[in-house]
Amino acid sequence: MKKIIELKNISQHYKMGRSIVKALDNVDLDIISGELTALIGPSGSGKSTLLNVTGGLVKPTEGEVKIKNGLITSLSENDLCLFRRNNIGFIFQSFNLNPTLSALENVMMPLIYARVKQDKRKDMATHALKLVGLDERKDHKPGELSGGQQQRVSIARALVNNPEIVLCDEPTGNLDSETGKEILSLITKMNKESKVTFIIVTHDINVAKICDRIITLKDGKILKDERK
Amino acid sequence: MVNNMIDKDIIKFAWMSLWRRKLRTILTLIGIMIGTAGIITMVSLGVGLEESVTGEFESGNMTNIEVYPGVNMGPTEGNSIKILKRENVNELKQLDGVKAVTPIYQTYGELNIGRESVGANFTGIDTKEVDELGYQLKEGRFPRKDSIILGSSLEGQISKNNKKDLLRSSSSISFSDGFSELEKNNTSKKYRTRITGVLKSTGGAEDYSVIMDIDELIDMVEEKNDTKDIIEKEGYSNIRVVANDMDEIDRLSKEINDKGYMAYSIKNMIEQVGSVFKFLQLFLGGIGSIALIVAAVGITNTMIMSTYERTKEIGVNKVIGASVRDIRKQFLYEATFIGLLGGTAGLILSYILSFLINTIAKIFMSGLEDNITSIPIWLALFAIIFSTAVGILSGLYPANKAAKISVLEALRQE
Repeated sequence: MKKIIELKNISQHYKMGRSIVKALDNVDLDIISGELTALIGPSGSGKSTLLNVTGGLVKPTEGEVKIKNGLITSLSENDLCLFRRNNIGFIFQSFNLNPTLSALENVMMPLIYARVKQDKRKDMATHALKLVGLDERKDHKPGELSGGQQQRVSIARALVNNPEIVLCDEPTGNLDSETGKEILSLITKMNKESKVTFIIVTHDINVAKICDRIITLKDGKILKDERK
Repeated sequence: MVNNMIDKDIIKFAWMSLWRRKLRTILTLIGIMIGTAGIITMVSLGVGLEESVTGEFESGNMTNIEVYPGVNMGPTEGNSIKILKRENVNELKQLDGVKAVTPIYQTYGELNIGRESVGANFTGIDTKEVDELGYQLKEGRFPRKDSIILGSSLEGQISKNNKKDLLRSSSSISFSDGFSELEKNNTSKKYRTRITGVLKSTGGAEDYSVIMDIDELIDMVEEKNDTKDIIEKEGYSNIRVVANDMDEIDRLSKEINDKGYMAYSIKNMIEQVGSVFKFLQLFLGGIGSIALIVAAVGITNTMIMSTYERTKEIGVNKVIGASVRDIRKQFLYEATFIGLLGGTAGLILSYILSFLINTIAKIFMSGLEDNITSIPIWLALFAIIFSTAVGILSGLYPANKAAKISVLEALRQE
């Protein structure tokens, strides 16, 4: 049981006018390698903030984040970018694909930044698209794809660099329930087959149900932490 | 090796990003283009002018001062010289630093070679001084009392219809009154002469002239007009003073003017033309510099706008692996491209401008042979490097701004 993510005493405070909002309040959390974890809770409970802190998109006001035993809270912004490049994939509710690039080019972007050699990039990206079942539409631009297909492209993009951790922020939030289920089964498949650690922020209880572990947040604190 | 690969892809991103916004990119380029063209044209005028002045200097005419009768401009001016006579020639010979002096008498007449007859400007000079007067021969030798030499254009004109060797052809000079067409059957007297040489082209009036001994010429004119004192009445056309050294020209010109003559030298003319070009240079340089400054601000402005517009894209790229340095580099490359392309366009524009200036100058300044603008390789290279540097400098601030964009805030934008 290897701990891949360790959060210690994480607090995140925002200034809202004169008052200070505690988005996270002394949160401690360990994530085991290969786990499929759901973060649930009402809006404003701090679940997205927790995900962003974990992914190094924002530095916590207090506390330490360790990933694979490395302290990322002390890294400079540039080093944080380099760290994310090799270790963490992201999936967003609104896909965030580059509309001017084809599906294949979108998936190749992380490889370009990771300085993967040109001849290997195309193979890796095509392979990733094949895993999400979209290799036939690789030359289409995001505008020519359905929501579900766009989310598949973004999953391929998150996985193409073989990260150990993938963080998902409401991955099914913009999809109808049928497509949402497909995306979800794709995520579980990746989790089981490739042993990738997933953390999914969601308010959809159906999403949470399929996860190994459900963490409920409220007012910036962990309310419940259940494992199946 | 790895580093080359990085840059190639980031450069490609930069290029694609400019290409996606073609119109804006081109509009931003125009400022740099005008600025660079202005500055190149300014410097090229300076370079070209210097080259043509040096060219004139080498042709040897820079030591000549043409002296004309003084013009009485003001009511107080009493001592200006109205007619150039023998004594004036002697007076000018007394000046310090003078190598040679010749009176010059000019009149219009016909040169007959075989059956051919051409109108020409006859210039009489003191043939004893001919070696010192700055004439340069293309072929043959200088004339003595009874012979003549031809300007190069005049020779060309005659040779077109006459295949025989000019220097061996029998020739004569005649002066017709009034309307030459009616005089074609030629009642006027012909003076036999020999052509001993042809002058190099100077681009001036001499190209169309016959150069001969002044006393011979005056004798002919006096015989035709049936007078004996043409110089006493009309005077010489002008007097040419040849200085020992170009550095003496200014002093000599002043002394000659002080004596009531009007002195006129090529050096003088070039200086006057030069001051016009100085003004043109300042004007173009001013426009160029201002345009470059405005263009630099324009690049900065365009790129700052671009960072706002692309905030989301930049944020996403950072999430999927772009480092802070990658983003900064991409923006700097974009600015570099704008500078480089603008500079290149400016260079092309200045070649066109340079061509136009030279063409127009040749139309308005007959006899001008050298180009008055010239763009040497070093200037072209400097311009490109300079405009690229302007691009990079203008891109520094926006590039840092783009690199600092917070991922979270970027992602919040829709």
